[in-house]
Amino acid sequence: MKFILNQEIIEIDEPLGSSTLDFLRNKGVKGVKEACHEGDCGACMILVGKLKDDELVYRAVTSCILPLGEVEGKHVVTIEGLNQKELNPIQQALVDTGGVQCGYCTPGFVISLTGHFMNSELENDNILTAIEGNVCRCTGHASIIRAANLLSDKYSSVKESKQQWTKALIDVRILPSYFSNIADRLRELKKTPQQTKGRFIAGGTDLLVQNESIENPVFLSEMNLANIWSDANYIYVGAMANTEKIRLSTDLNKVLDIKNHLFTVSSLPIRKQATIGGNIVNASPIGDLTIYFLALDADISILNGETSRIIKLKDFYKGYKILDLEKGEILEWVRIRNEEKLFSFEKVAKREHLDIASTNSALSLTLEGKIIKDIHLSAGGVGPIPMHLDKASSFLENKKIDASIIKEAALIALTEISPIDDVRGSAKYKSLLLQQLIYAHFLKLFPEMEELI
Amino acid sequence: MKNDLTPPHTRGESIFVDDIPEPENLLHAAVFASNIAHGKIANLDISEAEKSEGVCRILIAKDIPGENQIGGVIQDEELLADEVADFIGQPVAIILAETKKQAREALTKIKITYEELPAIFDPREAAKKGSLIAPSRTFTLGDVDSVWEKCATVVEGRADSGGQEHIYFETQSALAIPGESGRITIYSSTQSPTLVQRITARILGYDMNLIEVDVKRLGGAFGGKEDQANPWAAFCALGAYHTGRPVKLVLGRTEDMQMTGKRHPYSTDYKIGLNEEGKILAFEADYYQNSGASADLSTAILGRTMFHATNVYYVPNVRITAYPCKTNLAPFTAFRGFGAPQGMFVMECALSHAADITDIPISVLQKKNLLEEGDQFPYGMRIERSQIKRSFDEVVLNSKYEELKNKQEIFNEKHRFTKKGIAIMPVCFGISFTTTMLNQAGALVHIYTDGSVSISTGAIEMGQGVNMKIRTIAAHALSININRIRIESTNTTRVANTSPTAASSGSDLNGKAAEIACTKIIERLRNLVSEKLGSGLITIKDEIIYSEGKKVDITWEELIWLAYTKRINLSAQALYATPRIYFDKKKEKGRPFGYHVYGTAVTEVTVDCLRGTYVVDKVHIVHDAGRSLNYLIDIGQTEGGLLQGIGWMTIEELVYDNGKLLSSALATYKFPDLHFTPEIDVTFLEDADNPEAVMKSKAIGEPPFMYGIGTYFALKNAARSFRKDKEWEYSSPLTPEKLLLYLHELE
Repeated sequence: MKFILNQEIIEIDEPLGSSTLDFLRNKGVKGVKEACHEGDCGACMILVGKLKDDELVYRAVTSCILPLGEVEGKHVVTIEGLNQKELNPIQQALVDTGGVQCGYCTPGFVISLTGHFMNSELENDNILTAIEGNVCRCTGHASIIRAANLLSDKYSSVKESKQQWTKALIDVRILPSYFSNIADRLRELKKTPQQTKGRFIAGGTDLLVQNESIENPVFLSEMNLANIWSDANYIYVGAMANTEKIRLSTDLNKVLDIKNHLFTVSSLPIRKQATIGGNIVNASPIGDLTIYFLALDADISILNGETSRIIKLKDFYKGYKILDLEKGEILEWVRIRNEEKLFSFEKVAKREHLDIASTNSALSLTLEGKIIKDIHLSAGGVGPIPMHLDKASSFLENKKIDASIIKEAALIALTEISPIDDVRGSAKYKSLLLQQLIYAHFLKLFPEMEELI
Repeated sequence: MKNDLTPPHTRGESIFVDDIPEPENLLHAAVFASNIAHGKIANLDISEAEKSEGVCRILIAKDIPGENQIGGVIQDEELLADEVADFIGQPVAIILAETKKQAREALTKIKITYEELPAIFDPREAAKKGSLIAPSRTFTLGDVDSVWEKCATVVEGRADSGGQEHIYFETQSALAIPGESGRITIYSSTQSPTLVQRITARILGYDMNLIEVDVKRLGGAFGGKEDQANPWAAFCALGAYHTGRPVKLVLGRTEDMQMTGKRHPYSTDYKIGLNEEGKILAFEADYYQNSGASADLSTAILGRTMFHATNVYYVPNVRITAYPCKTNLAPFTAFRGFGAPQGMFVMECALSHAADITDIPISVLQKKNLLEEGDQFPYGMRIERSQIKRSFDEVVLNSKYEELKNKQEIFNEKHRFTKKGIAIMPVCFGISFTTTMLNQAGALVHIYTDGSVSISTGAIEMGQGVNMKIRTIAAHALSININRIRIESTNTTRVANTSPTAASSGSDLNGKAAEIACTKIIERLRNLVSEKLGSGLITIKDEIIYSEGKKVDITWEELIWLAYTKRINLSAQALYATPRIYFDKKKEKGRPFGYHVYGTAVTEVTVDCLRGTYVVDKVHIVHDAGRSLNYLIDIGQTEGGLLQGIGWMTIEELVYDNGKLLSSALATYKFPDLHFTPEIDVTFLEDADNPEAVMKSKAIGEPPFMYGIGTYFALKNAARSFRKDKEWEYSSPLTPEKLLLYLHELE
């Protein structure tokens, strides 16, 4: 496979399912640092650029959990590829504000900040979102936040020059001049067709945490499965749509406040890598997207060659990591009804951002007068599978909404679950938390009930 | 002078151990560790692993040519477990292979069986069974026993604080390269090159002069590489010794978290007595330190817990006893604050508890009991040039504490589930190693014939900016442009017998040594000019030479060249030893500290009482930085220390299952990220010159950590305005789990 590493086209014959970070460091690219090897710290951040509709787009990615095959035909930028003779304005700002102490996490921050200015498709303009996937243990972040805000003030106008953004960034020295012909060079790179048999990889953000390398990877990103579209009845989310794409989807935001709901679901680089299909098929009992769509009573389509079948998402899970999925089958899309419902998503983790929930839960319902209809309650982290709480949901169906009913439903929910003591909390805590999250759902939707709970 | 000597961190060009270009013929090491908490090793079978692809050699205890002993303070720790494994993660064998991958793969082929022995994880249980690392210690002042009766209020309770993982971003790493005639050069990520040298020499049965340790910089340390960098370096050296090939070992994050020590968890019983006005009359406490499976630095850390047991308060009658309890966990070790945070936490718990009982506001109790000039600490030292009242009053004023408090009360009344909280956290932290002999540092200064300067000291640069501070001090002492000065790596062949860069003392000690060395050379230069001109008082200011205040027509470069041609020594070595400090361990009295650092923080938080989650909104700090050597660096140390302290009090939690650390990756051990970071407002006290340290500065590394303790009490404050009927358990970290269980669990 071929890709452009900074300025240089390289051709390699390495296992495609191995970690991009490991490859880069073995190659002697030492500005990319390893600190956690599971996408949690951002020390290994790189920029990956590709042509999308013939336009150059970049995103910051934690290279540790990026399978090498994913960079084929793309432009990989490490700190070495941003360095110029003098410090660039981003590097200088970090120095000037004291945003650099031991220096180990620093290249990662420079990369993410650079990505902020390059990322014209990013709707959320807050520069701090760009560095939320980077952690620093020395500075307490305050000085880095000062640097980021300084840069945002000074260079945000550069972002607005959408057509000529590479040139604009070269002019202010955020990018070195070789970026001006990267698009042309990428057009010339030929991709080799990938093998068709092996292990399917969606985003790979959990697979490469659990495994050092994936044997015979088949990259689903090569298939055209990332679209989000709608018709009169349904909104369809392609299995390879990433979390950030889902978060910002116009179709979904018409019926859900999904833009805000998914903000605490991992950091931006991970949101742009992790897909809904990966989340669902990974079958983690605590998967945020799975819990979210379970409460929306989603259907899923499973593809087997030319044929496909549609089942309820909640029927997909048969036991811990046991799925209704045959060999060779892949998830094609997830769909929800194209209608507005009362909806709430709750997630509590030790750390609000970039953390796996102790318990998460979602709820959807409609009201006919005061009568609850079509209610679906889901919960994660409280059993071996992502749970649709059937009993609590059916108990509430057709009931008149009031506080005592909600309390009773919460008690019923607690009989459906089987949480265990683990690193994310005690079983006792998870039960209590689920009860509180169920209250939270209803209090958000019906604030007038506050006095009753 | 065009050199820009700012470290190339932002360019990713700074070299850490794993970035050093790999020497030819390099072997990679992997560590095979015990997977039981306590047991006799019945059988260790490495035969299959030896046959594994790429494996060159596997080393076990019997392959150690010298002593299998790495204990620094107390010699109670084996490098490789020989007969008994004492904790999960204790190294048993080292695999050397051609690639890292091959070394790791061979790990799975080692077979081991144990005869399991009973394990202890709880320090109180250990103390009860007499399982101690060293005898307990007691400090006394006045006579507590006779005072309890006179107290209007006496409260007793228990306070627990949890351990903390360092998360230095660069994991433990070392590279050993064999040289001629037995020399082994070690590049180690260590705060203490001399310790690596001494321990490695002991392991190999070598004279220390055969081992050279070189340290360029660390990617973070926070105390975690003071004693605990030794084994990894020793493994590499042992491998190089046996194979004659270079050996590198870089721990993966999970290996690092499972094998290395952390901040000590403590469990403490306290008793505090106050008079009617809220003056503290007596304080008594028993501290049970979870020391882990061997001593490491535990006894020294326990000492500092005792030195800071009363924090900033004057208590006339004190009796505190501390037990270093031996358990079957990885030996706990130094971490920013070195036991002081654990001690101060207990004192604040006792006061907070007393405030609840007496209904005297905690801020009043705190203020009323602040140390006055000349007051005595339980260890005999009297307080000098205290800045505690100034910092306390200033931060109360700056933060508008009273106004905030009133506003919060109104807010809390209006909101059912959202509650705000606030707390003041005053800090007084003693500066000096409490092991008096460690308060020394060496420096070696060369001036080259072009006038440029090279400085070596014992200080390790780990992000705290010690190199920049030493440059500043040297530029001042030589009165030349700072860009002429370069700080070299820390190397045992240039500066010998170094103390660890720890105890916040790096710049104090090494900066002073560099200053003395620079002054020696300057003296020689002055004499030279004086001789040349015949007579006159020579001064050098900003590279201009004056005789009796009149400019002499000679540049710095010309002066240095002249000195060279006149065969003047342009190099100087110096040792600095902190004066006036001593401690009598028999009496447990003395003057262990050169001086104290003071400061106070006000912390504002918001708790979501429905979900048990919280936000730290803002922290106001007034800190005593002396005359700051570098504003940007000192602000960075204050903010960074604070956030680590907040993490320790809130979300950083070590979760074990029968001695196995479950929170052993960054996915499971959470520490403050960008979103968790509060607004931080730091002010340094003005006119706070410190005559006890170099250029009137003050040490900065550790004291700000303890401002984080305020977060715990701000959260308690908020939680109590939601629920008061349940007794508060003083237990940190105050995770969302603990908080929710307090807020909603039935009695």
